[in-house]
Amino acid sequence: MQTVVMSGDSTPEALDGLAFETLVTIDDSGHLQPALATSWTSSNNGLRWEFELRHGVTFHDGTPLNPSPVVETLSKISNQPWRVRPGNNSVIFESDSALPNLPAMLSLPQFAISAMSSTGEAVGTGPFQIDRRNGPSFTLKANDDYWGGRPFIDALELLTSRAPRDQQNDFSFDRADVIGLAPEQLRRAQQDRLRLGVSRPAETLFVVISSAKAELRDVRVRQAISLAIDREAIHSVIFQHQGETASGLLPNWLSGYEFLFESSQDLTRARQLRMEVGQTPAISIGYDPGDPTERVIAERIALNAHDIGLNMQAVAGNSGDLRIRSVTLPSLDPAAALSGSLDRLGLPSASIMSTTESLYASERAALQTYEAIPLVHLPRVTMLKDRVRDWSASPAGEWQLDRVWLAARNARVEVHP
Amino acid sequence: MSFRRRLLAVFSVMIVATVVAIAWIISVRTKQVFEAADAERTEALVRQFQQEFQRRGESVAHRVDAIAQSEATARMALDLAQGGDAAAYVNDATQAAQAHQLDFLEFLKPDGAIISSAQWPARFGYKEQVPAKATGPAFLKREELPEGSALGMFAVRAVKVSEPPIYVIGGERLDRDFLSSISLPVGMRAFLYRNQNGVFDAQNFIVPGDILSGADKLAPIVQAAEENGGQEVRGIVHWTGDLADAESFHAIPLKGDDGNLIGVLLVGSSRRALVELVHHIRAVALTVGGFGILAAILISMWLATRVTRPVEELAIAAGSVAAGNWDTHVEVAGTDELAQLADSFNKMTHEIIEHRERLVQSERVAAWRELARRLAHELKNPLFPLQITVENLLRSRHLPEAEFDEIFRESTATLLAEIANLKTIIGRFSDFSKMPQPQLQRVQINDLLKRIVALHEPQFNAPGRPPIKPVLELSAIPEIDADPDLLHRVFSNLVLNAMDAMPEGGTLTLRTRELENAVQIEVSDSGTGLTPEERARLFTPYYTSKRHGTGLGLAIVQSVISDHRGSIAVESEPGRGATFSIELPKHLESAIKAEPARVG
Repeated sequence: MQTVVMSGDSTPEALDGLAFETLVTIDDSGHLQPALATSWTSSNNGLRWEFELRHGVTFHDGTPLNPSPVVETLSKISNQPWRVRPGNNSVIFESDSALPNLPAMLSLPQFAISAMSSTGEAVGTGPFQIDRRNGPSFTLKANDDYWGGRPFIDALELLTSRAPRDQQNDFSFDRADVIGLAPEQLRRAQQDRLRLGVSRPAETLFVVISSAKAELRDVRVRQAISLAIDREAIHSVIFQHQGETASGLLPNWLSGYEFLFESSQDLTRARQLRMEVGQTPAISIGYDPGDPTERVIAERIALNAHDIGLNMQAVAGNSGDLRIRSVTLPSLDPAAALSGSLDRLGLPSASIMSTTESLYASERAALQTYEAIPLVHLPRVTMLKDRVRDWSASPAGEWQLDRVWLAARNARVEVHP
Repeated sequence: MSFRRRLLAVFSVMIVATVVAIAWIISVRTKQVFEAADAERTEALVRQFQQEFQRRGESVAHRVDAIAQSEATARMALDLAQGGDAAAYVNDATQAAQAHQLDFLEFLKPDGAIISSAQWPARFGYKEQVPAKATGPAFLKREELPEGSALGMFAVRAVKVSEPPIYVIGGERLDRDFLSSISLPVGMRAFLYRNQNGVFDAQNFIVPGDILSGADKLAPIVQAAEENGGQEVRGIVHWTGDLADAESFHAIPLKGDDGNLIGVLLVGSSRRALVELVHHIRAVALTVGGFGILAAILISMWLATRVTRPVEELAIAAGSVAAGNWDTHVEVAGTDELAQLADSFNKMTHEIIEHRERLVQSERVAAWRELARRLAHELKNPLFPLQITVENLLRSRHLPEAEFDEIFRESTATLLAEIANLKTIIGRFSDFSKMPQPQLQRVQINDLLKRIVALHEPQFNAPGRPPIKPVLELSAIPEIDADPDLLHRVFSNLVLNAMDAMPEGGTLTLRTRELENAVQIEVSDSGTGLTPEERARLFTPYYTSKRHGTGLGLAIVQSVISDHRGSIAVESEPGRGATFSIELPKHLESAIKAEPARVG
């Protein structure tokens, strides 16, 4: 039995990628690749799209893939600009405005296709299927009927809600083969010559507004906070130079234009803005009490705010007026990634075109609201046992476990993302 | 107030005052002793705190020394001196603090920039003041933290493996664990107050165990300690209305190495024991005082038997003597001063009685003599003509019959006239001896006086003598209880006397006036007046200044007035006339009842 151990306080995204699939995927080069859809065509100036479904695909409960569950899945998603209907082994999207970027959009994990089994559980078509769930522990077994070929390993066990120290112990005591590693620990791990998998900066930390406090409705207050934050200190000290300071929603390696956004600390301008606003009551910034790094970031931001005369307190829990939010790069396609990131940040994402100019304008408009203030782009780090072979991950750090195999007999694969 | 009650009051006051004084002295002395003991306990506790401060300071200094001399710290200092990245050491303070069980630990660059902070990891890069001295004992310091400030015992050391050195500042928090580590005597407790900006805030208290309720009541003591230049301050806090819940507090200011006040150590000592002791003393005093008053009553009763009863008997006897009971006798018991006083009292009353009897006897003799003189005088005048007439009759027996008959007729007429005169004289004396008792009825004096003036009107203007002018000045007076015939006789007598006193004529004035319980009648003349000797004997029976008076007129007047429970007085000087003033009660029955009992 193979086990994957994961940390986190919600269902890990890796689970979606392993058990559920989208119509289209993005390869490591950022190009669209067929998945559950083998081809797609647009007509009527991008107002109509038709995706041809792959033959021979079955859900984990044995139900064959057909347009019906696809339409059902995609129809349930709210606030989408399209209308979807079944075609002849295809699904047809129609919209009132052109959707030139629809295939890339459909590669986002939230558009993964699922069906309801006879037991009322959601089932996917991915290389692994959920076998059982025991509290924070998930067990997945290999899908023998996977259309892309059965994975080499038999099973995965994902343990969520594991603290970093517990993950380290799991790894040290050989209870896990793969664990996730906090970026700030990468430097020491490299010094210790451990086997590591490091993605490109694919996880972005933001300060987001989580309360409707009147003072925070003034964009000048939010801008002052953004200008007061010493991102370089957070990047260089807290994260030990891992990743890069963030000035945009997408990292520069993906968008190519992030350097155009300003991210350096400007206390003079920040103080000026705060003076314009006048005296403001205390603002709080919340952090996850189980995450010491997030606490240090929150306290650092509070200190930076004090430097411009804002009374900000770091508070444990979700009660803060501000909150630190981590958003993993949802796609290697810039437009899809921006759209997905905006969705996850709760910002409007409509009418995003795939051209660089359009993306820049959309991201700039989103940044100028200062509803989400980017801090740093961080790599996703995985620490591996030597016996894990053919380990690979996308540039965004997404695991590709279908090709992994274990050198030792009876060995398990345990993953701590 | 009676002597006995006064004696009781004096005894009670003396006993209560004594008890109160003793209780007060005991209370004050107890309080002094308690406060002295409290001060000793507090001083001992403060010494204990100081020892604990010193012990912890030495411990902190030792641990900071160990960190500063550790290989890891030396490696950090060397690396940074060679331009190494300080970010690599951002977590070192946390790890070293955990390893050495320090609450506070920071590594500082030579310029004071924080390399790593255990208590506030996010403060890396911010600058602290470069320590002035990097050796020496630990010191108190207020440390700013994200959640507020905290008090701590700190030590600072320089890591001199390179120049300029980096600094290690480590410390231990002075928190409730620190307070709990001090063993406090029963009834005592200690708090720490963190001074923040000099503004009192109840949230700044560090208390062992439970939350300190009502901390605002400590504000005056804390503020006094803050404002008192670092001197110890004492005060009493009343947590509730019950005095036993009060607590004495000693506030000891705590200063940092820079001399600024960073906190106040408050040592509280319950006053319950003292208050209960004082209450106990008061209860005992009240009990003793109560028994003392009871004892005072008993003692005063006993003393009354010995002292006040003879005095009271003497007082009663004196009152009886004053009421006319001359033969009052007081019992004499013992030989003390009171017995001598009673004996003297008895002798005094005895002598008064004897003197009175002698006086009465002498007055009686004098009266008889006066009576005899008057009788002799009155009787001698008629007797002399009787004797001459009888002798003429005897001599005329040899005369011719006709002459004899004429002489006989004249002599018998003379004899009859003189005998009638004798009868008149005897009748007057008889009348005086038989004065009747007043027959009371309501009498209007003004009307009576008017009738008398009218009766004598012809005499006032009789031919052959100077006229007398009667004047009536009568006020509105009420009717009184009196005998109108007797009063008519009184006022007629006075009017006749006045007329006799004015042979050359003059003015007779009759005047009435109402007094509170009586009416006043004045009879004034403008006649010759009276000498002092005449005034002194005026009402003596049979005394008269007139050639043909019996001396009974004014005596009868006085007798009548006396029978009406009234009074009569005279004012006169020679040549200025005389005024007789009579006061008669409005209600004779009331006047009689108000009289003291006539004794003897």
